[in-house]
Amino acid sequence: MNLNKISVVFLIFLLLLRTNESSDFVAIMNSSISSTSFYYIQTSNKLSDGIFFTNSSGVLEKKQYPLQPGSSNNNALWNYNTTFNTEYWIYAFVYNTEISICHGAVHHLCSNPNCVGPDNYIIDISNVKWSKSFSNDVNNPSLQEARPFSIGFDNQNKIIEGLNSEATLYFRYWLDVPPGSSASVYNTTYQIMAVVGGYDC
Amino acid sequence: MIVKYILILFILIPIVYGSTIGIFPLNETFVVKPFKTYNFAFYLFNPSNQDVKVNLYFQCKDQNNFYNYTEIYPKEVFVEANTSILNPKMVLVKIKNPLFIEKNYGKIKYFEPIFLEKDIRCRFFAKTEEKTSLIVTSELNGKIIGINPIKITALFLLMLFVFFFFKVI
Repeated sequence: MNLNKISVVFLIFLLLLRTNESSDFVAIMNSSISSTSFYYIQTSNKLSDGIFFTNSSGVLEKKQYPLQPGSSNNNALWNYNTTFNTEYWIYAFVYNTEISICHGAVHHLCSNPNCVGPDNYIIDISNVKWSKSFSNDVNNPSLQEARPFSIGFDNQNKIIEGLNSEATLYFRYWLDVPPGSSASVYNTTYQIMAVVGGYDC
Repeated sequence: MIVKYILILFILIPIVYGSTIGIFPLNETFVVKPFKTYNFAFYLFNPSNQDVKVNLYFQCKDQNNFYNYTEIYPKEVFVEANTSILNPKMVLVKIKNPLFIEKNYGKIKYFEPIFLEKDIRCRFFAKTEEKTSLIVTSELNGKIIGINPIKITALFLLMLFVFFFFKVI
């Protein structure tokens, strides 16, 4: 009898603890079907291939040449094509939402992979500059409006903020080689990221 | 007639692009009850004419710390060319609520209960493998429901009341 009483009490306790169990799969179905917001981003071939800097002869020949220490505003290889347009661009298609697009380098320009080793030489990433424009001609994007890169995604200098329709953004990149830089091949990883409007990268 | 033909050609022939990736849904919410798992699907598509390989990440944070009770499947995927929101590639994520979260105090591990509600912000990343990485993201924000001390106390008192009520009878 006593055991029966305890069972009844336990049953009541279980009933009180019982919650609505059916929400998980309903949520996944509803959220997937009801969603009408999306975006996609395209990068140009030359941008996907990476950004390589060259001297004034190289930019005309589309060939990478060693850069002189102390030289400034060295162009990226495809800053100017044969019609003096840039080949670096991204296209964003945004439907029923807003997005922001940021970019940045993972680390400084380094001579060794991942910037490690006693023989690693570094060029500070602020020596790389970028400029953007909605138009693409010999003057735009312009060196006058260029800004230096920083490490990580630069939320202070986003590529664009609050984009709510389709757009093509064009870029040019330049590199200053500090005096006294050692002769080497320098690399970093460049990333472009899109986030839903209102959020930081 | 010739003009029409050229126009149709322009519309139908896709142009080759570096890499393209699209994503939805974008800004969803969730609630995970104690000992439950919340399942959610993100979708990727690629309207260009080149397949794209993407690495996938899912990261959740409360105010200060990473919330590690999550899973993503798969971790990388080929998003085929010419896909749209109508025939996308699905990626599944799971957010678990174990009610007790593993913490470290120096080298000592212990489990801390979740009380009331914990706000969690999650972000899904799809990253291409080119030299210039393109990353598209989506947000998933919500609550992990924890122990409600008032509810537990009320239930305990009610249980005691029922127990003594039966005992008296």
